[in-house]
Amino acid sequence: MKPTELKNQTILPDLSDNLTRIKDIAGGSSDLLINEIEVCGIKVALMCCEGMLSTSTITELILHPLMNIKLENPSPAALLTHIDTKMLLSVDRPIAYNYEDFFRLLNSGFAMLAADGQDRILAFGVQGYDKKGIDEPSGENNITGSHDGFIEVIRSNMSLIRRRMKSPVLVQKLFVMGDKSQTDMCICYMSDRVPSSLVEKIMDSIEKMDLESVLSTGYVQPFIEPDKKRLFNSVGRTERPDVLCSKLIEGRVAILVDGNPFALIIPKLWSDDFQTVDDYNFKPYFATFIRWLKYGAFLISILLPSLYVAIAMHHPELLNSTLLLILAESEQNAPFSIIAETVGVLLMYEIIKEAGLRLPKAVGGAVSIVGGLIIGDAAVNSGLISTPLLTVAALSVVSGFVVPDLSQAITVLRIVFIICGGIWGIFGISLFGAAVLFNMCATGDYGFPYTAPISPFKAKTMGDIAVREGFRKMQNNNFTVEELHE
Amino acid sequence: MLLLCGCSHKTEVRDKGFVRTIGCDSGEVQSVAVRLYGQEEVLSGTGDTIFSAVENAETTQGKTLFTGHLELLVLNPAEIKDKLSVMIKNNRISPSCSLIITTGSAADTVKNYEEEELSDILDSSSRKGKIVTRNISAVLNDLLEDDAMAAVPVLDGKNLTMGVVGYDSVIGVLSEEESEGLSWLTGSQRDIYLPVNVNGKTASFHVRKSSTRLTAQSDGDKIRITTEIKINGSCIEENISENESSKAAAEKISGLCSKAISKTVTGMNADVLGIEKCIRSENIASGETWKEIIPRLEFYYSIKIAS
Amino acid sequence: MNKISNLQLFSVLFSVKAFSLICSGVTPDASQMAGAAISVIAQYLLAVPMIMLYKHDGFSLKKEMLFGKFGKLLYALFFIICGAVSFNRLWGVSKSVYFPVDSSLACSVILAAVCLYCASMKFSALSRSSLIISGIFIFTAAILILGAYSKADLANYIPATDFGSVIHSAVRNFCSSGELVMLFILLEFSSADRHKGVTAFFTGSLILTELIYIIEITVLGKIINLTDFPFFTAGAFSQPFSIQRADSLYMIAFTLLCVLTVTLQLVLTSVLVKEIIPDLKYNTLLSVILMLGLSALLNSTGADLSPVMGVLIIMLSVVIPVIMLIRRIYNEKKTGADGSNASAMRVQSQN
Repeated sequence: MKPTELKNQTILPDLSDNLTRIKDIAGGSSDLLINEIEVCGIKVALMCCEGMLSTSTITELILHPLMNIKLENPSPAALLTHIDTKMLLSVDRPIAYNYEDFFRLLNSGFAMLAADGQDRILAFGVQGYDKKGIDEPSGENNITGSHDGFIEVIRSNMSLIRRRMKSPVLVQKLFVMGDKSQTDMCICYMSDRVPSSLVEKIMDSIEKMDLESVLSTGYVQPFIEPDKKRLFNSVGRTERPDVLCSKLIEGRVAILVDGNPFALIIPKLWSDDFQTVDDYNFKPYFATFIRWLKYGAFLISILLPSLYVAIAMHHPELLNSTLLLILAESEQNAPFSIIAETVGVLLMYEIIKEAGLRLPKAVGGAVSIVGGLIIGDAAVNSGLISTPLLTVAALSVVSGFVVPDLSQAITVLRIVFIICGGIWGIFGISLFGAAVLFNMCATGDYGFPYTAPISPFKAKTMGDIAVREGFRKMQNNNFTVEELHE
Repeated sequence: MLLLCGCSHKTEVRDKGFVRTIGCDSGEVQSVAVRLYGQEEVLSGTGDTIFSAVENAETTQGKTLFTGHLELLVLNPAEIKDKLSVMIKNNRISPSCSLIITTGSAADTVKNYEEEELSDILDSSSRKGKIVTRNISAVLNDLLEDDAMAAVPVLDGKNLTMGVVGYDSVIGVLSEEESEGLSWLTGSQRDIYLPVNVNGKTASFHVRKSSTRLTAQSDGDKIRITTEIKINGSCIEENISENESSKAAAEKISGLCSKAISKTVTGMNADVLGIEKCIRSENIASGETWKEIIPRLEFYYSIKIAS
Repeated sequence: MNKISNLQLFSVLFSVKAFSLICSGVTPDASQMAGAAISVIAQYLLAVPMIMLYKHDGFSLKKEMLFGKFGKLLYALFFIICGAVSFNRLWGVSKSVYFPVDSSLACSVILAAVCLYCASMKFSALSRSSLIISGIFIFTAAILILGAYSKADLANYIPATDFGSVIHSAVRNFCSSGELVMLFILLEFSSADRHKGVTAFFTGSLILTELIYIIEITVLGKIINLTDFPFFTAGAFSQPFSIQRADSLYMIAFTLLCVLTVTLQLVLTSVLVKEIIPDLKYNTLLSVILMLGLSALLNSTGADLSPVMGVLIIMLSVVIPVIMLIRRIYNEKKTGADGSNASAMRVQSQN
């Protein structure tokens, strides 16, 4: 049965009928706990989902006060009204009038109180399920910034944002998506900064989602990023509350999904991937240096292996003679063509990376040693792979780590560039480069070009793109993404 | 499969031979001697054109020869301009490749010298200020001027000095002193020791850096060509005064320059210094040919030495 | 098509100009330099009627094109010829400069496929890319200037004395500058203050032309007469090191500019064709096939389209815009006069 169908089914007033209906809908699920008791002589049932709430909290905050209720003229209606209006058993106290609301609240960790003869069920927010503590993010590491990251619980994530942005203009709106998963999602924005109609457009896109479950941000992303043919993500992702806050201040919109420690950011720009929290804690000259290093690393990671192949096969005049002779000598005994060798090494690396990621940490380390040292060393010693090629591939891979958010595009583009470079040399690389450039420039949702502020060019923003200006200069900038809207 | 076989026809780097030196003799057919980087063996080939000759040398070696790293081209004095034009039009040869003209067979010259020997001799003579290295583009540019002559290092037997070449012949070979003078006139010198005679004693004058500039001025009927050479240097011997050594060095250099001028400009009617271009840029003698200009030329030397 | 900013208008046209300069087979000299300068100034003056036309309230080229669909067909035909000429230039360069593609035809087909893909994106992708590609080209030109600095000999520049050859060069340059026609169409999509973008383009065009010509003249000297494509030879001569060569890198700028130019011609053609025959499908594919076919025909017959191009450029960028401007002014005056007569009559009848 779909939860939307449950929406039309109001709570049955008769308690035994009500409980039978609830058990029916739950299908005899073992984690549904129903405690039938009498309060002031009225039959009531306290229901909860096992493991979703804290036993001590429910005993202390709900059971003890309930048992102490004394009414002069006890009736089911009077009892629920008394509890609802005169007792503050918890701060979050919604009321369920239909079975959809009932089950959503029950399965979110609320304690539900039903009384005989009443078509409403009181809910008490006493969630106490086990959750991971706030910890350092696994990605997006930094040295000088904060060391807390989002966790899987949406409300904790909302509080992490609120702790940094106490202004009332920060709006965090919760809503539920997914017929089966009934996942809590939250849209966050600064009401005074967000471009007009952006929130509406995003909500319209989200409402078009007809997913049964929303288990991760990846389920939502395709719906808010409508253009399918693009290579680069036009929706950003972060697991750092400080990064998210900085984006919100720029007038962007964030979406949090319960059960996922990542937030989605809309719109995302290409230049975002080169900015880290540390940049704003370092001296501006050093941050500028690091930023240009990252731009260089991005180009190296995508183009270096393909340029190596193109130069070796078609344009040896680009190297000086000493380098060229080293290259020629090392390739002397290699059994494969240089293009096969390069693609092979990079595929091998991807396999080792995947194996390292999916295996338990202890074994993952061993895989890295086997892959990196043993296979690499053996391949070079046996002459299967030349040393300069391995150096180039390693340099390219390491450079890719500098901009992890672009890793998906880098991995695939790198291999296609190698094939183009191997077949048509620099002409092929340039042709494919042009196609990628056009694709990049066509990327952008809701009127925000992905390549902004480089193209379309906005001189005002160059203080945080070409260089990293000091805060004295940036404080008067008041930049919002609306300035980039086309 | 496409990846493993290396895209079928593409030449792998290991299948390429990188050419270091080419010696080419023009006769009824072109015959070449090709020396590769890192190989002792010299390849030979003949063909109708220089490239077909290189291609034939390629087949004997089993590798595709790549001329993009050509360091030195040695030619015999025949069809020089045509050969250089062909080389320049083939964009895979670096225009900065050096050129030597031999009075004998160019192919034999390449065969008779070790792999790097010819290049080393050229470099060392140039460093010492004995000759000026010329690349193929500069020589071709000079040959395309009105006088159709260019100064090039010429290997006469074992003797390497500057010479003047035309389209398909060596017009004349300069003596060591004239060659040295031409070096002073055409290029900057760096870190050389010039033997000078001061009061009957021979002393070493250390030229740290020098630069040359040519200016043209109309002086009535005559055209005054001034060669201004600025030198930063000093005498090594301590007991010789700075003034005297500088004066001796200036005299020596102007003497060398004068010899070079009288041999090339006066003797061979060759404009190897870019005099005509200098005159034209000053709008002097417009409409006159190089041959008409030569009798009107007067040469002056201004040598400024700073220690 | 989306609106484009003045900077994008500048960068699109600047890239097209840069491409035509890179693959120009003209042997530059002082007359060419002076002629090019005169030609650019003349083009700028001829752009004034176009700007004036677009300044009139509610003017839309789409609705008010002279001769209606036939006029649009002429422009579409011109862009197809321009595309064919661009492919021809690629063929020429691929034969003279080392391209690791076996045949020039294959080279063109691969490029056409990429252009087809690029044209399938939004027009905004083209205008945004043009800014980045112009940036890459300016960077390449800066490297060329740095390399050429030590190799350039100013004595190679001999001032022009023959006024006739200057005028001849100016006419020839004008008749090969299709950018003015593109400008006329692109002005339809550009935002307010069009004169800023137009002024920037012609200033940039003048500087770039003179800069490239002077580099070619001073670096190549007499060798300039031997080369088919002086820009590439100048690049090869301006090497930073004696053995290592960097001129293959100019191929990157050349290819990017080529893709951008052909894509622009393709987009403009398909937009015009769509307006002529709204129901036609695959108009971009059809346009590229026409361009390739014409290019192959030109290549095999060796026909010179310069006179046709010259006539078309004068007609499409001078005659048609001026007639449209006069017609517009006349209509406005007529409407104004009719309006005042009508109001005078109303006043009389009220009295």
